[in-house]
Amino acid sequence: MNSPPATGPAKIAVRSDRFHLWRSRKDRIASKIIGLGGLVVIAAVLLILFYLVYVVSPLFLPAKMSGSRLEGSSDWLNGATAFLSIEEQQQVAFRISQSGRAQFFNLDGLQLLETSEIGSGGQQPVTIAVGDQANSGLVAVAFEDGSVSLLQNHYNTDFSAGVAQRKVIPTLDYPYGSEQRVLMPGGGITGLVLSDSESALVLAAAGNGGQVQLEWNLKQENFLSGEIELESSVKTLQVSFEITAIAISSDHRWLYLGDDSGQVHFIDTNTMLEMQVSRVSESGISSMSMLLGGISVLAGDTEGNITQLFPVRDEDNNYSLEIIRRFEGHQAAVVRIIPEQRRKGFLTLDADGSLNVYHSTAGRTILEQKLDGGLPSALALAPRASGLLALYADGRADFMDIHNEHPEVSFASLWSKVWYENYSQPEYIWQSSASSNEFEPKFSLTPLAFGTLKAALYAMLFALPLALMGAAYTAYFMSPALRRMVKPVIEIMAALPTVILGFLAGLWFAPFLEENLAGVLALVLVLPVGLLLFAWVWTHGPQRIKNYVSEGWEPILLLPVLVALVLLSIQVIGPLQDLFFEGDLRSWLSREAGISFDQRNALVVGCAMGFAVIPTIFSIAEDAIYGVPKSLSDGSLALGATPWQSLIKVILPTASPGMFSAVMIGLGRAVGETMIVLMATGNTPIMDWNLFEGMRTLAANIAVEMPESAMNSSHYRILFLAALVLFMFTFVVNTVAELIRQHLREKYSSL
Amino acid sequence: MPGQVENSGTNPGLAISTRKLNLWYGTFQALFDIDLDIKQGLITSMIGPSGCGKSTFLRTVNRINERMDYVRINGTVNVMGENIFGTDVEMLQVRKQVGMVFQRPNPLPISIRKNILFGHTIHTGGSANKSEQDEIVESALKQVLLWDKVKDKLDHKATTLSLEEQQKLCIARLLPVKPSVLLMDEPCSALDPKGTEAVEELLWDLRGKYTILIVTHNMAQARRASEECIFMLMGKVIEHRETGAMFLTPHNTETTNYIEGRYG
Repeated sequence: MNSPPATGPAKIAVRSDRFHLWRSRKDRIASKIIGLGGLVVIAAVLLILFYLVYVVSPLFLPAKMSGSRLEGSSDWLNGATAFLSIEEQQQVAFRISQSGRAQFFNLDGLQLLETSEIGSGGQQPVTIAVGDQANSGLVAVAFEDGSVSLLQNHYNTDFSAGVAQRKVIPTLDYPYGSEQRVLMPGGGITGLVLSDSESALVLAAAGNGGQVQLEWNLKQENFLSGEIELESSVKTLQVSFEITAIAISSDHRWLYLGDDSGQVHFIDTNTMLEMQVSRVSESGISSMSMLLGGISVLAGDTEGNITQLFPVRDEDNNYSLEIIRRFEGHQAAVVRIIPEQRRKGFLTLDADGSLNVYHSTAGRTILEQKLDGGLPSALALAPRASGLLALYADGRADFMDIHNEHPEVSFASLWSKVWYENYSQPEYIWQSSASSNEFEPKFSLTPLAFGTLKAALYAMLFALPLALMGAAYTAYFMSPALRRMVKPVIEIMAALPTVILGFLAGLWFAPFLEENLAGVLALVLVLPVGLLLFAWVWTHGPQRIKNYVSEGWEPILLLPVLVALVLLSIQVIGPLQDLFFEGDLRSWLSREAGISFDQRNALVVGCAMGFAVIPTIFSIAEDAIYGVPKSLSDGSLALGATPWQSLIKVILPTASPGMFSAVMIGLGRAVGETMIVLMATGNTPIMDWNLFEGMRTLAANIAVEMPESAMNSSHYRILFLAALVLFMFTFVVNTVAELIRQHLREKYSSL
Repeated sequence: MPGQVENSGTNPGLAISTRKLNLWYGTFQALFDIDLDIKQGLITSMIGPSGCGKSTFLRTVNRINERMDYVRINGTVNVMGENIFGTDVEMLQVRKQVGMVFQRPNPLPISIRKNILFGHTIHTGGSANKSEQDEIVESALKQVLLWDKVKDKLDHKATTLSLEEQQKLCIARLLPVKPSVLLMDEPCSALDPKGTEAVEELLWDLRGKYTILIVTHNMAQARRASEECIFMLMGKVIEHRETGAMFLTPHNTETTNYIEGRYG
């Protein structure tokens, strides 16, 4: 840096080039860093979006099935197969041949492990063998003479050689004795079902000529020896049609018979009387099966359609069989329906050898594939529904890997009304888990989205008038000294942790509201009327008193008035109102007006969330109104407009872009608010606009259920989908708001 | 006429008449004992250096000063013979009589038509029907010599006009209210010479029907465009005479000094 010359008039000191270079370099570096910062923010938001989509997308990917032949010597696979099953680890399979042999074999290499004879020395051929509907491993084998043997296969896993070398050790036993039971004297069993529950063991057989035999074994625990004893009874039924399929509900109450004209007969096992006949198709029923849980019955017909039905109870406790949904996709008769053991899905096989995978709740056809080897003679689905073993008549064995992770999710199951089991009509329900494995998960996002909107709406109803009118007064009418105190205080309110607000709302305000419902509701009337009355009295009051208060400081006067009105409403008018409503407003509401009351309800949430949202809206709106050039206000006043007229006709329209922005930001905040809703509502996912009922929002739902959901399960991914829905909603609302704001800005720009 | 105070000197020929007018902004006194009589129908200009109280006086006459709670006023001000600080006087009526034009044109961010009708609608409650409204708009715009330029774009936003046209619009929107006094706070300082000339011509046209009080920093403008002139300094009125006479032969030395540009 050169120093200025010592003589002569003052000259402009010239800095060196190096200094200028350094300055401009600093400038460029700064602008690049700031630009980079902006890009990083955009990148972060995009990354969030991509991660959400990454976690959600497997929900909508199609299922895959790929098969391969099992190599090995299968000389022992002679003869037809009556029964086939695979165990959990998909290593060992169990087969009963038509000649009466029970065989265990390794899938790897088709290596035979064990074989034994069942029944009376294998003289009679097996006509039909079925597994227990409840998947206990119990198998009922029916012989030509109409007798039935009950045997059970189970497996032990030996990890002594390490996990990778686990060995599965099969065993076969006869838990109910090895003698054969006579089920249908005279033989001719064409259909058989076995259902073993905790209270009873039931065998139902359909025979030629419309005969039905039901063997009912009540289980009783011998309290001396601890053994289970069976008390048997037999019920019979003779029907006039040809029975093509038979199924029984898991509570053993309903027996279903399919006939060859396409009807399902609904029979009450207590009376053995036919209660109803449902026509499900014009062609005959070719197979029937119960779904997991034993509530729904699936009936497949010879046209290739499958119908799901279950009994529905009405108000008088009468049951009727309702047709719930239909599934299409087969061109030939449905010969076999296999329900999944742990989900409400099922597989079907038709006479052409096409295998379809469906899911009942979602109403989805997941997979349609023609099997390479044609129509298999026996099929077994692994317990995890990820593997399928097919045996063919020529001794070939194929194993199919099924990749079907999220069958219960479809757009319809997420957003439309679904008819769930045991409900009398289709409903929007969110109930993600229950205590048993047989539970039908109900993943409708509609109640959650509705709850989000309901909470946001009531919060905005409470917050908008207060925040906007407060902002208009503070910016335009309030004295600057008072405004300097008020504005920072309200902005500090924004920093209040919402957990505290939720806590106060749920634990103090909700009970208080319940106790003083009449008083609090009366406040809605008392406050505005009282304040306006005071304002009128003040303006018409004596000038002497008014001189004590400078212009713009009047709000201070309102503070004691506000407290007095609140006390008046709660302590005086509240009890008075109870007199009118027979002592209890709440029960009066539910009796006369049909409005139910929940302690943690939308009114509590509206007030608490409104309280959280008011500082945000106030701050931005107040800045917008304060920023309107004073010259506009002066011009309007000079023309003779009153301050109120100037506010409404000139100031607020000019500030409308900023005010609109404030409202949209407040709305975005209200929609995403989690803690307040979590603590102050009942978290009940109902769809009701009732002010006195709770709700469950998308955000609160995620907070409550995420810690408890299994990673990468359907439930987990659906929670991420809820987050994605919230994200998109906020994004769309903000974009629309910004567009409207730009339009307003151009319309009302005053420069 | 109601609301008179005895010592106001109610001469019907006076548009504005003040006696012992004092004004404080907080503790700072801006006006000292102002006694002024401004004649009806004339263009009177107020000149003086910055901070001498000209704008303050102007804003007192239509009571737009009082928005802030730290303004204190003593004394009397009569407009068209009526005390504007009387207890039963409505602010609305004061502002009906007295219109104001500001330094920077401030058309409302609405259409030209709506700007003109704004004041009128406020005072009549919007009772005029469409043809009456059209007449009002046309007559006001014709008076400010703006009709031919904007008659085809009455629904355009007022802010799309040039600055000079905006200022004329601001004058035009006062007219439907039929004030008797027009207060102008440096109306031409934001305009170029051509615009200034146009506005000065307009003012010359409007005198007689309206009393015009114009505050200006531009002595040449005061000289060419006003009939009487007031010189203020430090919150006091120094001289108030016919313009030509004051500029030729000022009575006070301060006036002389100011006119000759010794200080500004």
